[in-house]
Amino acid sequence: MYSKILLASDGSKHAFRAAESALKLVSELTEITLLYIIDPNKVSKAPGNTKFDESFLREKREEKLQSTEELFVKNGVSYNVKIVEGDPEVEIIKYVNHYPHDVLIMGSRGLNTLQEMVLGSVSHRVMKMAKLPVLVVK
Amino acid sequence: MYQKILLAADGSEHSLRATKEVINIASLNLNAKVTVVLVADFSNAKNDVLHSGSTVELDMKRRKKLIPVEELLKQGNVNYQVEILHGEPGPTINEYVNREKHELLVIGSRGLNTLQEMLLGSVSHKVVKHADCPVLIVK
Amino acid sequence: MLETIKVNWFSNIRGDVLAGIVVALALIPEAIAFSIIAGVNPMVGLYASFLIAVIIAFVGGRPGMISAATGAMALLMVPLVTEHGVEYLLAATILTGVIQILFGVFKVAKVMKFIPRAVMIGFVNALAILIFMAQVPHFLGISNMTYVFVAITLVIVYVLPRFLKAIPAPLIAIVLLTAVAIFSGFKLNTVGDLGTITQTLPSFFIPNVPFSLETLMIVLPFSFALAIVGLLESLLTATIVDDMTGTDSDKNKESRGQGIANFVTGFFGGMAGCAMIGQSVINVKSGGRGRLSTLVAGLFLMFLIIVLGGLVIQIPMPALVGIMIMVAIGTFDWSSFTYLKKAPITDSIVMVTTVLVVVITHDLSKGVFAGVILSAIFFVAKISKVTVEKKLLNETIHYTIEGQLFFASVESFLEAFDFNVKSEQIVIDFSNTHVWDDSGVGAIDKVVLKYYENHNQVTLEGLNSTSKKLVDKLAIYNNKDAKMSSH
Repeated sequence: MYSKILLASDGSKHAFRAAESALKLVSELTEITLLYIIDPNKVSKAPGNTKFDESFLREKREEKLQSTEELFVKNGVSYNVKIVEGDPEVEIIKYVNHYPHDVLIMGSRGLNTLQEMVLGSVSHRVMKMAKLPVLVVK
Repeated sequence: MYQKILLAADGSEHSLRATKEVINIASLNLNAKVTVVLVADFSNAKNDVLHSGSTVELDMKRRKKLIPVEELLKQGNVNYQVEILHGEPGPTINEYVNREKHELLVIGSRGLNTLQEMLLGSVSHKVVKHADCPVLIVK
Repeated sequence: MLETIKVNWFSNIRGDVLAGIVVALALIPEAIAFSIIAGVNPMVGLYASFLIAVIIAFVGGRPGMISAATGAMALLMVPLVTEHGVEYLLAATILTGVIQILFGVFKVAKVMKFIPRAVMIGFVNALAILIFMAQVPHFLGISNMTYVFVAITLVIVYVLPRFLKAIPAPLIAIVLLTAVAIFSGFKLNTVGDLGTITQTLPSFFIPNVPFSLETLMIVLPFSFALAIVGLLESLLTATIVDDMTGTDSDKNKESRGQGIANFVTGFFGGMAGCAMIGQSVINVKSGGRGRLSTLVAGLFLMFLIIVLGGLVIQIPMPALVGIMIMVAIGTFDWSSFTYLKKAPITDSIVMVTTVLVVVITHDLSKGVFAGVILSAIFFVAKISKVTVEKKLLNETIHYTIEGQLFFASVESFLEAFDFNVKSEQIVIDFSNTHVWDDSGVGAIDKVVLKYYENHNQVTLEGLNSTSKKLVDKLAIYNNKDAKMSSH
């Protein structure tokens, strides 16, 4: 049984499917950490601010993670939320190296070879760098 | 809970670690059925045939590779069956998992670096890209 | 019947046609190179590849396997061609076909399982070494540009498949380097320097050799060697294709089919061939499974030659050499080195001997014979060890025999007994042994009679039923008049 599951999320629909898969791995003893990564290259900051402020983060969490959190609550899963800012793969690896987990779950956009060459696959790079088991969900 | 699980294994160290994850996951569901798949790689066919006296011996050799995997599964009280497929590992696993509609695919990874991946090709990477179901990569 | 035809021919049309085309493209350089090895015009190998592939598609025993002109066969022909010319080669090809058809009729394929794996490993290694050695005169010390072209070919055939799988890399290397050679005007040897290409279909003719006993005696040893080597490689390839596809094949039908293919090919100006491991693996990997793939490979090959024949003679030799080096590397069994370390020493000796005999004699069949005979000797030596244990139990002397009792082991069996006893009870326990022949029975007689001479009582125990039957039939120790001299 897994006691500590890390679910990496960018709030996308792939991430939500990953959350659904996470449900299939939980027992009463499991605690899920929902790691929400905000990529500063993709989310614009409030004008004049160099860091995201509290209210902005709260708003983002409401908007992007609501469905996932509802899913967990409905299924009685105990979870906690961590929000970090930065490059997704770097932050995920940093986080698991710092806080050991049993398994990492993440969504994947399901890119084809060409898209992967151009855009780069986050899940592929995480897979390569992470030392723990990684569940990739499309 | 996962019910139909495919474990791609070759008897190597990392496939044993993958087996342990399968036991973990299967323990959540009494009805879980695990299929262990070993792919006899086309590229090794000549070598395999040349180094075994008979087809029976060759079958036994391949089956033997999975003995440690099977022992772990038995200890973990997992309901499993073994299937030996022939082909190129990545595409063969994908074709099988998609055809048989497994809910989860578990596979060990050698942990190749970028250069090795370019030269050798990473089976787990190919599998992640083309399998319809979620894939658990175990290093 | 109709169902089998459907499965064998039309169950995988798309895969078979595509794979057949890929194989045809890969076959062209090899057919030319093997002709050059044999010392004949490239057309002899190209016609052979076309005819054998097409005929085998119909009469072979292993659907999806590719047969054509091969290196193993080409190497065997060299002395025949240099001494007597190509007409004798064609006659030899026809005779090879006849012998292989007989092999098929008499189910010789079954005997092939007696060829130990050490010999087979030695066979492929020797073949690889010979193919490589045959290339040396075509690139060593010719010109710097030759080295460059060989190197470029090798880079293309090993690196390109990582990125492009649809077209065989050897063909790309050939096309590219031929174009470079034509447009740059580098001085390089070409296929045209070694022969001509005729852009016509092969036609029927009877080889121009005198029909005499002398001709037969010249041709027969070559035909026999070709028949055996061809069958050996074909059956090994068939087993590999069986394994890859997870299906079975009819080995006797394959032997007969190879015979028919060679027989016909000889009348159409083609050299003897057999199944090809490398091309068959390419075929299956590319999706070929049925007879259609073999047929398409043959037909498309001929089509290409008729259309592109003019360009074929412009192919630079170094490009072909590079491809043959790749074939040699692919044929060699690289796990042999670990095998040498792990296998029993006798197996290693057999393997190395097979290779050495071939490399020295340039004849694969001689290597196989040497390997088989040597491993037979080792086998007999191994099982001719009998151990005899002597024990005293309740005033009786017990001998327990372990091992096989036959002509090669009787000596050590006889030496183990102590005959300096008088009026004793002696029990000989045979439950862990098997008596194989009259030498074995004779040895038992000898022991019993020798003990009788000194008034000992002898009881034989635990003979298994086959051994007992043999002993009852042949032994004379119960015959009161028997004397030792009887044996």
